[in-house]
Amino acid sequence: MKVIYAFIRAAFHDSAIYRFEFWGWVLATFIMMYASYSLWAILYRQDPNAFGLDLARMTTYGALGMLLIPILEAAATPQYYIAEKVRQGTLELDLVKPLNFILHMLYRSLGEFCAQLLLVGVPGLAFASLFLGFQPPVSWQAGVGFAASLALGYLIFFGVSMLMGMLSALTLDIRSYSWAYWSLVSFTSGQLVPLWLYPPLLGAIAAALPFKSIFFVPMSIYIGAQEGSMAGALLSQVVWAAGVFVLVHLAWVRVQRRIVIQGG
Amino acid sequence: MSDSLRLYFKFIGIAFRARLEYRSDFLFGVVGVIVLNLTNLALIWVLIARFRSLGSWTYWEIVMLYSMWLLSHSVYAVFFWHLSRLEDDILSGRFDQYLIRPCSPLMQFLGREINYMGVGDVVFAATAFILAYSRLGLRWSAGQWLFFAVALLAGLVIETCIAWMIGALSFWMGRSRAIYAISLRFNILTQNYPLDIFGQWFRLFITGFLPVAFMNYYPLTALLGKQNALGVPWLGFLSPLVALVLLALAAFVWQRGVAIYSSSGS
Repeated sequence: MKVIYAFIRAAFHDSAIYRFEFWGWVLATFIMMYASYSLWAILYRQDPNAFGLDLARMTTYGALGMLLIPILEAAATPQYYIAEKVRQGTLELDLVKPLNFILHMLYRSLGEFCAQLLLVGVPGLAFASLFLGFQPPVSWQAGVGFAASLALGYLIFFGVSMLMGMLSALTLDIRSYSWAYWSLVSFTSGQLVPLWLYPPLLGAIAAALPFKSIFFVPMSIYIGAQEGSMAGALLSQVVWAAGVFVLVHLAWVRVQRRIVIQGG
Repeated sequence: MSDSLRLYFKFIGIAFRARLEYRSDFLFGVVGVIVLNLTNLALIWVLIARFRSLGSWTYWEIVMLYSMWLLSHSVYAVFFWHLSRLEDDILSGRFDQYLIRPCSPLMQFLGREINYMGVGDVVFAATAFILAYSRLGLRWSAGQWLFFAVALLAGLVIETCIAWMIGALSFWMGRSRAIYAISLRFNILTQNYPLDIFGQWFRLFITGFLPVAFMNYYPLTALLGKQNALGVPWLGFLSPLVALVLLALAAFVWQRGVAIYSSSGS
């Protein structure tokens, strides 16, 4: 517990050091929230019947999807961390630390997640409530469900990013595919467009992948539009999280065997 | 000046050969960029499959808007992308190196790097543009093609000068990448969506202050004979002028910045 606390504190410190930088990112998030809000407002005017819910809930979905990006991005921390260590050739220093590597990554990312949740989430909610007609969760149950679902979504994203990070040993320039990776995640996760608006085939593909658990499930619970029961949606996330973590464990065991420390 | 240019091409040649050493990076980069663009357009396709249009814009018109921006951007991405990381050189004091050599600091900085990922952008944008052109059944005259070419060049100058100016701000501020991140958001939104869907202040902002709408939206509305969001039909023809003004402004900011540069001393 003390270790997690230390990582959370370090993440807060980082944001405080680069204060100007930090507000820049917050402002960038506001812009995207506004853009998503505008997009849904226009489409709603074109065809109000396509949604099956009212405009305020739809624009709330849109703004929430943009607000969650910088928060859930914390789950991608290990991907960048591992790539950087592989590039420097100093990954072995992490192996000798008295802390399981996967746990180390989780704590580091969790610290980031908590910092972002507070430092970006709170101003973001304030901005959206003031200017974008942002709605609270449809009920208190939906609020609790959203929190649980967001936490599970974060864990799944973390696991997938660990897998991506271990894969990154293949190429030096992580930038080249991290953008493609993000765009695929955003496409199949319902981060911008809710999955029920997808054509049947694409919708079926997105539903079969773990990414919808990251954005779509928590966000649809928030606006009270989840498919089936809330418990069912949460359960499917638990199953995905368990599956992804088993994969991470297996992959890490293999990577450890393959790491060759060069002497001299 | 001509000496600097000759050296620039020499530097770029060296940077290019250095990049070629990493074949798999090149492959990942190009494939990655194409996947990124495909998913962006697929998302818009999903929306339009459901809603038939976005405001007054059909799918292929938006593809054209998207690819026109990308055509300009791809050249920027190949040659000038590292302007966004100028702050690293200034903060680390590496900028000193450029000042002690008898060659323009700008040319040395620009010639240091080349970004292969833009190659994927060129291929994708050209393909998407040709597809959109034929799907829309357009028949542009020679004059329209000429204007299109000028607008592409203007778009390149606009994006480059904005990045250049923001980069040069770090001579005063130390760090300016956060501003770059904000301008990138406006760029991406302008690339993906017609200006019509946004509110008045947003339209004015990317027209008058951060004029990215001149990269694709205004020239294209003129070419397609569509009414633009501000209802001023001749705005599209201003993009070369906007580019020239930005160029002068950026060169001025850069010169002032280099003049006040003091090394970080580490």
